[in-house]
Amino acid sequence: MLEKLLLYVEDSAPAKALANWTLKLAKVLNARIFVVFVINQKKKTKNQLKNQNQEETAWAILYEIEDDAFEANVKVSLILEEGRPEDKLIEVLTSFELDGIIISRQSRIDFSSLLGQMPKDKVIIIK
Amino acid sequence: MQKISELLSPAVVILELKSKEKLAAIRELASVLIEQGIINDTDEFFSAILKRENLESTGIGSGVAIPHARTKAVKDIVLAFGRSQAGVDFSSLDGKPSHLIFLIAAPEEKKSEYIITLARLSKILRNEEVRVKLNRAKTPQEILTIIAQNE
Repeated sequence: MLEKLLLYVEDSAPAKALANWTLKLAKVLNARIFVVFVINQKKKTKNQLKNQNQEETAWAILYEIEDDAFEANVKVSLILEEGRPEDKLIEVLTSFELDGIIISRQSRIDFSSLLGQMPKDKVIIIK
Repeated sequence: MQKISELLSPAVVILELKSKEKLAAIRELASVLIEQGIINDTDEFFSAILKRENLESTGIGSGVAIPHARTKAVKDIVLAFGRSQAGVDFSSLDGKPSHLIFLIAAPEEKKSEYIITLARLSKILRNEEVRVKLNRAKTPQEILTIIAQNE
């Protein structure tokens, strides 16, 4: 059963389309979505203002999806993390005992690293 | 686009919430907005806020909760702040009670301003130093000053 799914989003156009698709899927499955944005530590700069803007953008993306989920009557939780995205996704997946990850095939994530760390009993949907 | 500190005023800051439970805390915060004449339909306001609370946790972790909704009950974006030393259970993902609670409501049609306000406030409150200062502030004006200095 896919009752709790992690949706990984980035600051990109495919993320919005992926979120819309995920909300439709969640509606059908009656699943709860954990929307995760990871601020990549490597991309943080010494410019504090730039980092703060990056964080505000991340929250805006998360809240926009939350608002769409509310309209669609889908349960969501928002998670903003900092670090290496591949590691953080696995961390969230296991700590909240989620059933799988939904991710865009256009994501900038290191897929080989993510797939290498995926627990065998979890599902990954690459859309 | 108004700043967070411009949306707050000392009159909508409660330094110690009496309520120990989520819905009661939201009602207590809403009551200051009602007293200020900011909410034009109390039932509609609660209905919008509670509908969202039932669907998702507005506790963002680290002792912070931001209950929020878009509703016809307000004409502009409104904000109230309450602090609870004991903490209120907002079902945060980190399992911790919320000590700093910001209530936000926006008109239905102001979606982008509403999202930006939520994002900006969440960013400010993710800063541990800001949370410590807000927890220690002694007056409503001090709360406003801390927010203003960090946005």
